[in-house]
Amino acid sequence: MKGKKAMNAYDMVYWVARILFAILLLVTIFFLARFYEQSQLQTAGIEAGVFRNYLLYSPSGISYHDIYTNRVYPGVIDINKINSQQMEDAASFGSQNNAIAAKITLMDTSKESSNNLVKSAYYNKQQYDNWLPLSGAGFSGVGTVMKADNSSYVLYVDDNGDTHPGILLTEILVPNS
Amino acid sequence: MRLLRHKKGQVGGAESDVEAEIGKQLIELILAIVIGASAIAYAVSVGSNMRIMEVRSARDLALTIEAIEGSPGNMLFSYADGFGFQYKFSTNRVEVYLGNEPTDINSLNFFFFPQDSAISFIFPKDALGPPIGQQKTAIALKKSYPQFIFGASDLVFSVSNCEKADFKGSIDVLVFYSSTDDSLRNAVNDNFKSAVLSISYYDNPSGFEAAAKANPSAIIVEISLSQEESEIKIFSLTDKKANTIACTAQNLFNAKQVSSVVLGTSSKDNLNLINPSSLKFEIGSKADYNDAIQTIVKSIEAQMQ
Repeated sequence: MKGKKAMNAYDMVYWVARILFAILLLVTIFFLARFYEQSQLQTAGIEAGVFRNYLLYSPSGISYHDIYTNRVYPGVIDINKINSQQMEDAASFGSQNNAIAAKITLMDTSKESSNNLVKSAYYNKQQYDNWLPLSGAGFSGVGTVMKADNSSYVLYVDDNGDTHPGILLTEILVPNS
Repeated sequence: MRLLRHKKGQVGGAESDVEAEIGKQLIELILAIVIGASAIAYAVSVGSNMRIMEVRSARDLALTIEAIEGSPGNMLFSYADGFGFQYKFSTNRVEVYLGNEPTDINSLNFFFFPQDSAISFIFPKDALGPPIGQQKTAIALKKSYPQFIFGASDLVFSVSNCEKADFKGSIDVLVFYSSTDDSLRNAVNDNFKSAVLSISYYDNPSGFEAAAKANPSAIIVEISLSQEESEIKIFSLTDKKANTIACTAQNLFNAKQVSSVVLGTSSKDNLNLINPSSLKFEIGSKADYNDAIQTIVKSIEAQMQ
């Protein structure tokens, strides 16, 4: 009798192992399918690039725009346009923007690095502050935030219409979905 | 007798053990079948899930709209798909769904930023989908500052307004293609044929550049085909021939629903030739190469009539 009980106990252990293996198999298949499904839809980098190009090339962006000829001068920044209101109006996602946030910083390359900040502005500042901690290295996957940093040499036009050499830093945050 | 009973009992115990073992094996077999079938069913559902394509189409179209909106100049874009989806545009989002009526459950949407005070968006009232009996949808996006018009494939860009080039005698066409993919090169060879055009092919940049400079009145077609991006540029060195051909080609592209974008006048080409008049087409997908190449041949022939 003891032998039979021992056999049943042995069988139980044996079955538990087999069921666990079957569950592991199912989870693996599910995970692989989800992984390939998700990997096709990661557009955060593209979204950040499109947004940056939009700010730089659109007449409504931060580039200098000649209202008489309607010509945009890509690479020539109008410092009066570097303000949150301008950018919010130019690229609006409605009242609740959960799509993108950014910080734009313009620096003058002809001045010393300690005193070269010309102007900076936020786009969707509330979400920028919320998302910034989630964009750190080591975080990945859905629920985290991708941070795209970029710098480019530009000219900027000051209030007097004079141009100066500068560097434009864009820090764009896009949630991974 | 005692021994017999004992033996009988032993025999009976063995039978029940065998039955129990068979039962376990049956359960195991059934479980294995259930697990296998559900795994296959899940994999098939993921593989054939149009939901993924709806998400991709919605994002693709929304990002395309943002990219066009952000371009400094005017742009025409023909967006084609073969899934049979319906596309509905509202204030700042695109909805994609399969079937007749969108609902919150079966439509997928993605947001873009059209609330740009400098440009007015003109959306169609109804969803855009494939014509009856067809699967392919072509959505025309036209940004002509200060308007951004979303339309069906019959949105007229410049169909009847193409200027007629003054072609006299035979037309030399110099075709340069750069591709390491033999199947793509064969597609060019098979499709870029015409009974009335004198077509020369080059795959060497220096030879092509020399031939183009030696024959300034020729129509020059540069085809760059790769898995990443594909462009067709049409230009000529001396006059407006290229623009008239490109205009005709664009009309035919629209009519044939070839996914393409006119990238605008190019100021400098890859071969360092001066090109006073040129237009560049970016071809949407590999499947569209043949259509695009044949369309360009027809465009040149049409200008000869």
